[in-house]
Amino acid sequence: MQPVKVYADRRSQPSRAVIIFCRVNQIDFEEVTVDLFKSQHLTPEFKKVNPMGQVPAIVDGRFKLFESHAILRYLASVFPGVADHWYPADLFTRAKIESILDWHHTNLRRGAATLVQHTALAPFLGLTTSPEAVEQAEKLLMQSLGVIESLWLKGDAKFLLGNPQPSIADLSLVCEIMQLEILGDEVCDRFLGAHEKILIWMDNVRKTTSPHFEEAHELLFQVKARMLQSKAAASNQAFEPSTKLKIASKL
Amino acid sequence: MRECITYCCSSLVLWVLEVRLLLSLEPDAPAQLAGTVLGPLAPCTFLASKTHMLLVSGCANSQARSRIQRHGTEASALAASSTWAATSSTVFSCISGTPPRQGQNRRLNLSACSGSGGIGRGTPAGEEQILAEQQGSEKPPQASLIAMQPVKVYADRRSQPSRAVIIFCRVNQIDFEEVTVDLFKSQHLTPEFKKVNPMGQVPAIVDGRFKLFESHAILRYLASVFPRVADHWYPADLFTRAKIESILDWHHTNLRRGAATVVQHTALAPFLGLTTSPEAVEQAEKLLMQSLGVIESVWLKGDAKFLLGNPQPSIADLSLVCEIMQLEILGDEVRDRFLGAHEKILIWMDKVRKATSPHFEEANELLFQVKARMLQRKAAASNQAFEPSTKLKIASKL
Repeated sequence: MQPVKVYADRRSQPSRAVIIFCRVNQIDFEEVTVDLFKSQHLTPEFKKVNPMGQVPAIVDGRFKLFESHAILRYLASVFPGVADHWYPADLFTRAKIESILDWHHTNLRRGAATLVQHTALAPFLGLTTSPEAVEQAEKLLMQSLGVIESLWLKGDAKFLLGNPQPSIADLSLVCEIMQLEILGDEVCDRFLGAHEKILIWMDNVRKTTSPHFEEAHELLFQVKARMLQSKAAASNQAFEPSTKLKIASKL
Repeated sequence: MRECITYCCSSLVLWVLEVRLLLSLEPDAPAQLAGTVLGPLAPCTFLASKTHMLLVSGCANSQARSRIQRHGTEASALAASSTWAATSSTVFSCISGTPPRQGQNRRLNLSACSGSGGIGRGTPAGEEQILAEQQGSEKPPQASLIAMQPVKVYADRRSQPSRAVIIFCRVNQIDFEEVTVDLFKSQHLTPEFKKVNPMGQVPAIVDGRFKLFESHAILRYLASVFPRVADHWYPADLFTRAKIESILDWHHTNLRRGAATVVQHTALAPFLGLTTSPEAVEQAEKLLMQSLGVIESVWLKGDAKFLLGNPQPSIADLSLVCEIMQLEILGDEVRDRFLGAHEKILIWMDKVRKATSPHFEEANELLFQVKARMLQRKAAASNQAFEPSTKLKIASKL
């Protein structure tokens, strides 16, 4: 039996979700780093693994798969040692989890990922940003956080849907939100500060997947530290206070 | 042979349910009891809970087989302690090949599984259990004699995922009731509808007390819960299913984002009084074009009849084709600009239409009526315009 190959860059939030899932469930896997900053996802070799040129992707024997949710579903179904709560066999509980996973794509992910791309990453990758896009993304992100809290974390729910244990939806959504870290503590607090239930829930997910959760996020915090340094350097070089203010409010 | 398997499964289901009831009466001793009672059955429940799909499909993949062997021991122990709701419902789906009765497709129920008839409504195991836990005093649903209600499908046929769900129900003879939620009259924003779907979006379904939104989740649910839905729609084989899941996930952030944004910012915006953004339209057009290219080059390779080269359509085929169909309201010219260069997509769309005819055409009737009205208005607006430059602009945008 060959281990499952997981092609991932730990700077990508769905990559982290898949890695944490594998570790927590003791799946026999081999992590293959695809460095996005070095454009390794665009090489012909990687396109053979995933024609979309995106991480994460897996190769299990001759079976190839991309899209993180599909990967999580597959791993949970194919490895019998994965506890049922991750992707419940019960059709009704499962359907509710599917609904959250689908919602994630067009709401939380769209909000959070667009925001990070247009603020934190764009200046470093030389992408052009659009204030309208940022504004829309911020609005969508805020709305999405509100929905999670009011709909799926009702009462004193420990995990989404009031489940006593986490599912792949908990893991995927929490990893999505975790990426806000690289926007800096100030921005992070602006989004999460008013959502106490989300903070508690995120901590519950972290605890149940510890120490793999922290380990998978190490690189994120390194990137965050580097970004803060370059921001501080850029800030010192700036002359006009108005520019400073703009950077502070954007990042 | 088949009767034999059905009988065994039926006995197992009833037995499992009995144990489950027993457990609910004796909340203090479940683990111990589970170990004792289920010990000999552990391999069986393990297969049911994790790999019944593979069993059904004949365990064709040797890789999966060896993996099951490898994890067998560990999983048996796990299955013995797994939740009863999970076990019973998968055993239901394990025997889902058994047609319950003549006529319309009804949800899995006890009478269908035991073959004795008349026991009553099927148990939405998890939901009922969760509800019972939440509400405390709810009595166990197993013994109730409530007649099966049709599934309520809240939809507006002008919305492409609504059409996909309606076509799916009709093709599979699912007993459903269509409740129109008029988006143009903002009925999706009413407090009544928010009780059905707090997101205020269509489609949404209510099946008994079970509510669900997001079209892909609905399609998966309907395909899993109605035993007479043919396997090809949402294959039990884990490998085929995973590939379909991958397409469904991809759909959200690519084809849907492209197509829906183009339609909103061009065709719908002027009628709904929304502000449009040229950059958004340009980006969406690019994404749509790319997505069509991906469908053709990755999933319609060779002379594939349906996505992934499958001989019959899946819920991914239906969902994606319905998404592309909405380009109709942009007018023939724009539609052809996107689809003209993608012959394989046109052939594939026609195959999906044929496989779901006449329900496909019927569900899309309203779309063509909207298209005709839009063309009329456009023609009227065109006649009123004086400058040729304006005309040209409209033609190129719409």
